[in-house]
Amino acid sequence: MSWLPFVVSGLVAGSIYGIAAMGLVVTYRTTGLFNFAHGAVGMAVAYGFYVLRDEAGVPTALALLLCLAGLAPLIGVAIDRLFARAVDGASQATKVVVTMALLITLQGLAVAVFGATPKQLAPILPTGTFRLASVAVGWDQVIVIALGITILVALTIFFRRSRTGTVMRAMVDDRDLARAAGFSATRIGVLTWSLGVATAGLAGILFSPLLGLDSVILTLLVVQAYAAAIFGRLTSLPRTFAGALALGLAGSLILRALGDHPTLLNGLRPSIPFAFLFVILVLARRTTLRELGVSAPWAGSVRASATSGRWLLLLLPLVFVLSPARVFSLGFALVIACALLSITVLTGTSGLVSLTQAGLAGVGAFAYIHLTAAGVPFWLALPAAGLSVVPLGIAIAVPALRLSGLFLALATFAVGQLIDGLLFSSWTWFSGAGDGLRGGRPSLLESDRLYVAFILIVLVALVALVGAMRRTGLGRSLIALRDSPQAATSLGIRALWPRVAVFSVSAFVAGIAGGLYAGLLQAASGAFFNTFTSLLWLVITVVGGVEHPYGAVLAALLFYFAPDLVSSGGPASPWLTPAFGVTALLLASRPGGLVGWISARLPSRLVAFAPGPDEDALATVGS
Amino acid sequence: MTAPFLSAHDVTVQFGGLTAVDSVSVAVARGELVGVIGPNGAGKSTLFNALAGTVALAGGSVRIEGTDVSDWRPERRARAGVARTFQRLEVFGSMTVRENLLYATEAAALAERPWRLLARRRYQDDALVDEVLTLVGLAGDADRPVAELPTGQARIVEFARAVCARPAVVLLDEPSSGLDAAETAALTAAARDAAQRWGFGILLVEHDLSMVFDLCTWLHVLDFGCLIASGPTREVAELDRVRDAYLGAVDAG
Repeated sequence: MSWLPFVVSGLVAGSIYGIAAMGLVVTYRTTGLFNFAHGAVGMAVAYGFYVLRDEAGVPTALALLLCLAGLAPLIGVAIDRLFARAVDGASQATKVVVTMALLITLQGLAVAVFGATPKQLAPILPTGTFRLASVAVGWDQVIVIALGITILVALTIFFRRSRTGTVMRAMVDDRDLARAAGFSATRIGVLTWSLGVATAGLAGILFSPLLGLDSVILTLLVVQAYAAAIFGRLTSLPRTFAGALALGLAGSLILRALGDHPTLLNGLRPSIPFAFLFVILVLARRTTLRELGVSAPWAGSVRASATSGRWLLLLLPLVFVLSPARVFSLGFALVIACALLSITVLTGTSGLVSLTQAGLAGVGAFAYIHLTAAGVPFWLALPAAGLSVVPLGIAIAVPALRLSGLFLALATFAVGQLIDGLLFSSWTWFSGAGDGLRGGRPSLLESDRLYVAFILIVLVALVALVGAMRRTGLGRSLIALRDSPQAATSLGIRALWPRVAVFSVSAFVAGIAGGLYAGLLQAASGAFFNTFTSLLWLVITVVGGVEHPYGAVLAALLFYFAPDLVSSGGPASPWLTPAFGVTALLLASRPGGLVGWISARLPSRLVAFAPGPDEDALATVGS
Repeated sequence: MTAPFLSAHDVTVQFGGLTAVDSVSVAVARGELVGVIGPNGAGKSTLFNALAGTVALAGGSVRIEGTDVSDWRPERRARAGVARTFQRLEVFGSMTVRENLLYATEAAALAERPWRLLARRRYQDDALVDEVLTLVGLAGDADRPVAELPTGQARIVEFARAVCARPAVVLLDEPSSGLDAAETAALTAAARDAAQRWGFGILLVEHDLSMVFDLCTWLHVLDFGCLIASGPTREVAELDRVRDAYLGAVDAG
């Protein structure tokens, strides 16, 4: 079979990635806010198109116009008003969390409203073909490629030649400049976000007939756009478009090259953009990747708390009075609380954002399953599961050492997806219960009640570990590097060891959580530990409070246990995820989260988890 | 005269085609109070960054006690005894004043060996911190988070933090920016007293002349990247070409 058809379809896919990627670059370059939810807003517009055309019967052209010139600017205005301006000047970590929360909200809403099953869409563009050098080429393919090139040319001319474009380019460094030049910052913000949403929406609409309208696929398809945008150094439109075409071609040509090896193909193909993204980030020279916009260091407004966690033992009686089903769901929430603690360790102490925590927990779960299956005693298998993830944590920390803020988040996102695609989806070692392997429990803890009580004790121990870490030179170095990297350097501190250490502790905690998960469910599946779970975990931890260990516990109980109390055993409401997403959007710029909010409202002597000379109060400072 | 601790020898720094610092030599010994002045854009901050290790040299060398440290990273120079403050305030905002200073006493030891990061309080020096707090007049605010303090006090915290690192030389980068006259005077007094008590040298890069004349005994004047005068403060201040360079710039600014 000829390679040519694959080249054509690769260019088509690349052009669609390119359209989305250029929109991403335009919004980042103008506002300094990297929109992780770029794919999610595109997905939202694509659903709008589906409703208008396929459900309400609006003609295709009119529906397109309504979506791109009506719905897209509407969403653009909403982003500008509700989030973009609120986080202007906040830390990069806050910005990452806000757009993640938006992603989770939109994706959750799509599932709540339209269900999780993908929708099939009729073709949008003409379906006729013509022959070009003995290859049948579709007119739709030609149109898409032409559309990509047209948008590239139009945007380039707009930014180089027009006054508005010039102001948009300069605005990211100086907000007053727009005003000085007689432009209203509001108008520019709205224009930028409308343009961004429209490109994402166009890409989403163009992709839907090819892939089906699926909220997860469309939301994550944007990674190609991330990779292309990073290839374009987040500033150059032509480079971005070229990167997108290269990615499209790579994805298409590997299909031709490995067509006879479906297992290899299925593992490798989805991983290409992530590998591409990770490699570019790690290899890029420091000067080529510059964070744009005004960013403060991570909050620094709330004191990281070093609690011992003993108050959590108050939950112990619950384990013995709840119904069996609820004990199990409490246990599940406590396992997740352990996993969320790995985010508290990392993000709450050092301000670094990692989007790979679920993947790390998953590796711990499978390590635990294989260890217990091989006859390793439980008491050894659990800590070994934690330790087994540490090398992976270090493997992320070291190449990513030079990266911080946004770029670290992107790199860990890529690693999370690589774990997902290369380990969980294509390596049978990680296929869990399929071959009869199951996570064992020690005979002493065979019953659910005793095992859940054990989980609670491990959770308390992990909280104490986090607290102990914060009272060491390591904890102080991390906070110093977070509050002011320059001042820390001026005292002689090198970022390497504290970073390696905190990634190790975080990975260890995640690995323990994975082991507990496998013991509780007596099984594990790679599907649970996917990247989406990592994003969700980050967002709900922020809701609970990312700096205080109790924030992780509260978040896990609210998300994984409380709904069960209300719905009594049925499936959790699909509105839960978007509800948490919206809450995270509201709380993102306050790292105190719900725990901080609650403790600020309790009379000081009732704040059970605050006082004591060693247990720092959640004193909210300044802000 | 004592041998210099930190010195720049014919240091040249270029940005693209522009020569920001052109073959400049300055030196500061323990206990010496040296000022570098010059109009805006004269290369003061660039010279400062060359000494601290945050810009690369195009020529010449930076030495610590005679050893060429031109290719040492800033954190290594810090551990060797060069402390600094920042033109744009850099403090650990979520820590209290005392915690900022305590961390400064232990940071170099922690960085020396990775496993020392596990130490709880072993490398901290409470006695030194208490003494520094009293000397700079921050004892009453020791347990307040730094983010709560007004700029004037935060500047003093930044200086006190440098002192707690037990340096041989402290580099001060325009410490009076953002301060009123009273705050500047307080900072000047704290700097003089601390330098006398612990015997470290100070290299002060300043735009504001009153602080320099108050504190420094030796003065260098930069203009367009070149040294145009060096000598005891009183003598240099009387030189006509210094007045021309300086007053001309003041008029323009």
